[in-house]
Amino acid sequence: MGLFKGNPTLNRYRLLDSPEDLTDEFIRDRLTRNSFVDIENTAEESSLGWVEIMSPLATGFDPAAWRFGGFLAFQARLDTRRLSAKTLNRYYLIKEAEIIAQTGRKPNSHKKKEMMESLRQDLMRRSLLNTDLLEVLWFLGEREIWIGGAGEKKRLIFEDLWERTFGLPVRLLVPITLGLEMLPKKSAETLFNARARFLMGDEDD
Amino acid sequence: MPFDYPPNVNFLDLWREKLFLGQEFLSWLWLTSEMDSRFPGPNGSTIEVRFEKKLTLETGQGLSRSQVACQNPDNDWTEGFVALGLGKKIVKAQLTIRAEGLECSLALPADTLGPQSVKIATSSEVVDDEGPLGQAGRFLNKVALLVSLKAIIDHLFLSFLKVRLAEDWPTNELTKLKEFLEPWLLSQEPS
Repeated sequence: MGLFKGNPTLNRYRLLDSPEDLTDEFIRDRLTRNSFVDIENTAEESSLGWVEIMSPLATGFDPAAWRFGGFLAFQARLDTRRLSAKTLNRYYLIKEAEIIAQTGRKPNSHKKKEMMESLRQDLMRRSLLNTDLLEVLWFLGEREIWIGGAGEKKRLIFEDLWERTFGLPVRLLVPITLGLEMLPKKSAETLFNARARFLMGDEDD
Repeated sequence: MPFDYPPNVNFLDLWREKLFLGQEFLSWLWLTSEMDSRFPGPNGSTIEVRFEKKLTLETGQGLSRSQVACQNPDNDWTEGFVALGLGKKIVKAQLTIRAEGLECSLALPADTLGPQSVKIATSSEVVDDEGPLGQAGRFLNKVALLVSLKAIIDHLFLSFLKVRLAEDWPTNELTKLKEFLEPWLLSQEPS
């Protein structure tokens, strides 16, 4: 579950560099260049890009659609389609039977490869797309980014698209990274060297 | 002055090595909330924390790792207290948080402390308009509540870090927690 619909789930990142020229033009340009490209009528396996926060179909990126006072908001959209080897083989065997009926011979390996690729393209084009949306909120003052989801897969989708779009380094906020930035330097050093010490069966500091 | 990461620190290694931090935080939060559910919040406010329904605890590492889920149907955490006292670590908790202007239930995983499945109690200010303005209003309202929730979790985590890193942690806070668990552990010993 993301941020907007249902019961939100979120992961947090810290932006490690403060960008200098963070104008609306710059952001819009980057979003547009990395906007989602529709693959509905193609044989492409996947497409990842930005869409507007209020509409997974909109890629106009007028600043009014993503600037909300102190934070920016957009969505990463990932469309994927899958074709199992089993399905491909099934259709290949049908095609192969047709050829054997016509020629009396099995296709050679070169022909088989060609047929497989042609079938793959055809079946991919006919298979339904699965759409995943990942909301991204960028709090400018705090240099903090939220993604509407949990788990490694969602984090990798975000990190890939973020890096490609803005090229700005981010660090996932987890207890240790959060703690190190919350504490004064001396306490943070103690935390960095701390080891598990809780109740039973733990190590000594 | 911010903390300077030593060169060659690999984030994933550091995260793995310090996973205990979130587990200890949730353990501390749970036991402390069982003793008194009210925590001091920012600017003299109060944060009420209650662990609800379900806890996931883990033992072992790598291939020998196993998880146990403890339910709390009748406000009875005996199984959870015993598991914790025997060295199992909390990996995920379901809790409710009440603070000024916010009441919500959520799951909190120890590895990220990123709130999950947050159910926010609806307020009278919910925007009914189904049009784009209403949609934007609901979105902004939700973000504002999540910002408040994040601040509360950060505040609780910082409170934990302060007591955890205090020199008297083993003799003071840790002793209190162990004493709290003792009756449950003793009740499990064969008579």
